[in-house]
Amino acid sequence: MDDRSEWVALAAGTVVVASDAGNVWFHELGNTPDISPFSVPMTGPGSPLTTALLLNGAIAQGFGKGGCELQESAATLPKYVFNLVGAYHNSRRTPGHFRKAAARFRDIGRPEVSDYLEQHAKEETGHDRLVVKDLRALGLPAEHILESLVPAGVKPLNEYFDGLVEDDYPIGCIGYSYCFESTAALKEKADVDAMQALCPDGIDASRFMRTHSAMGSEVAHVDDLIAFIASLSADDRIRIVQATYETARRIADCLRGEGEMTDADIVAQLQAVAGEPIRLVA
Amino acid sequence: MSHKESENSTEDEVAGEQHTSRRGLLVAGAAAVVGATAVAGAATEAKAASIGPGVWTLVGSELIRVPDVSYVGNAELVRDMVKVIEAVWTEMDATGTGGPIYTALTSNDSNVVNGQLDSLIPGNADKIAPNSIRIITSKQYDAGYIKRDVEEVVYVLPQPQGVANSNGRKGGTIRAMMAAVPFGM
Repeated sequence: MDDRSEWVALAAGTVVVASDAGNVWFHELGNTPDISPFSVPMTGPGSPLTTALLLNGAIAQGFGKGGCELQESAATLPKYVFNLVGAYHNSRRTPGHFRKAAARFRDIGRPEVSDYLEQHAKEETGHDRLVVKDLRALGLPAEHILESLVPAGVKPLNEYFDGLVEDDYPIGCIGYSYCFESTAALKEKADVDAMQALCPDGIDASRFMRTHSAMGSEVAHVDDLIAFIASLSADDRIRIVQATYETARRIADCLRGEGEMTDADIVAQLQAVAGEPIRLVA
Repeated sequence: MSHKESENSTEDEVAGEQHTSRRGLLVAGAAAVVGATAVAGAATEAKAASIGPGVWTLVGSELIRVPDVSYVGNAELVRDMVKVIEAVWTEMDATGTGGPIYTALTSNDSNVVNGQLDSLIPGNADKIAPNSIRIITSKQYDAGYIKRDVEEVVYVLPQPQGVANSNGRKGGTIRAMMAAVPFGM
């Protein structure tokens, strides 16, 4: 057994532990207070396998202990549109935020991180426009809606992203990105087709989702991200995994809140900002 | 697992710091009670059940809680402990309960314990003094464990709370939840 284990303490006293045998465990520090070796931050190198396990373990923990607090809610066109609006506000921020973080890393002598973020910023540029096209395709006044409506569940995510980038050491923005890219890469063609099927015949309103799925570039982005994160120092990996967990927690909160909304609630919000009647049926 | 970490512990710490701050981690009651008149082997875990969490030692007729010793910054020891713990956790994942590694590590026979440690930590024989190791479970720690020997160094095996599948995604639940949500960067 070698020593390529990685572990990170998440908020709430849970440590996610990954071994290079492919195992990932969750350990409550409260069980043996302060005398667990996992109370000490890891210091060893990362590896793509164990770093990926840590990151995905953090996402699983963020979505809820046991992974089943959140239930799937029936997909509807209004919910899909509402999620697209939320996705826009996230996607719109990404290039600028990554460039800002890249500049900071350049200033503090971390050109490898800076270069990576610059590259990532380029790759993400223009993705917010896909939402605009999707909404327009559905006959919606996209600009009015996107200018005026930020879904309540998305605000904490936006604020968290903004805060990570404002940090003196904005490495957490990589964890934020990993959470979104990784969960997007889980979407398969059947998932995209199912959403497209909610739209009226002949209307393509799944540009954004296609791009942010296993059909698009997300799988390659995720592999890239894992390799990059695994190459960083233990301190950096710890911050990134913690940010991934915090992002997952906020996404789960967002979905929980939106799961309680009815289609009528959503349409009412869209109409209020659009200033015109909204009709969303397949 | 290194032995030198117990060097900072003194008799005064043992006698006077029953509620020592346990910043740091790792080894409970690692202090060797130099010169104290503990009664080796006189106490039992059954008696310890009512004394509260921690590792205790008999000094004369009194039970004294041994401070949990801090090992902050000793990455080598931490890595070694992690190897031992992972071996037990991996075995538990496979068997659902304690198997040969667990049994050997929690044995009363220090030769057996040291033999197992040597197999898990290459080169361990150079670091650990024979006959001083005792590895207990966190359940034993929570119930209160009384050292059987003043020289005994006690390590605690933590418990995992849950195990994710091999890709850490808990059986695709997150995929199912995110399938209808067009989020992405």
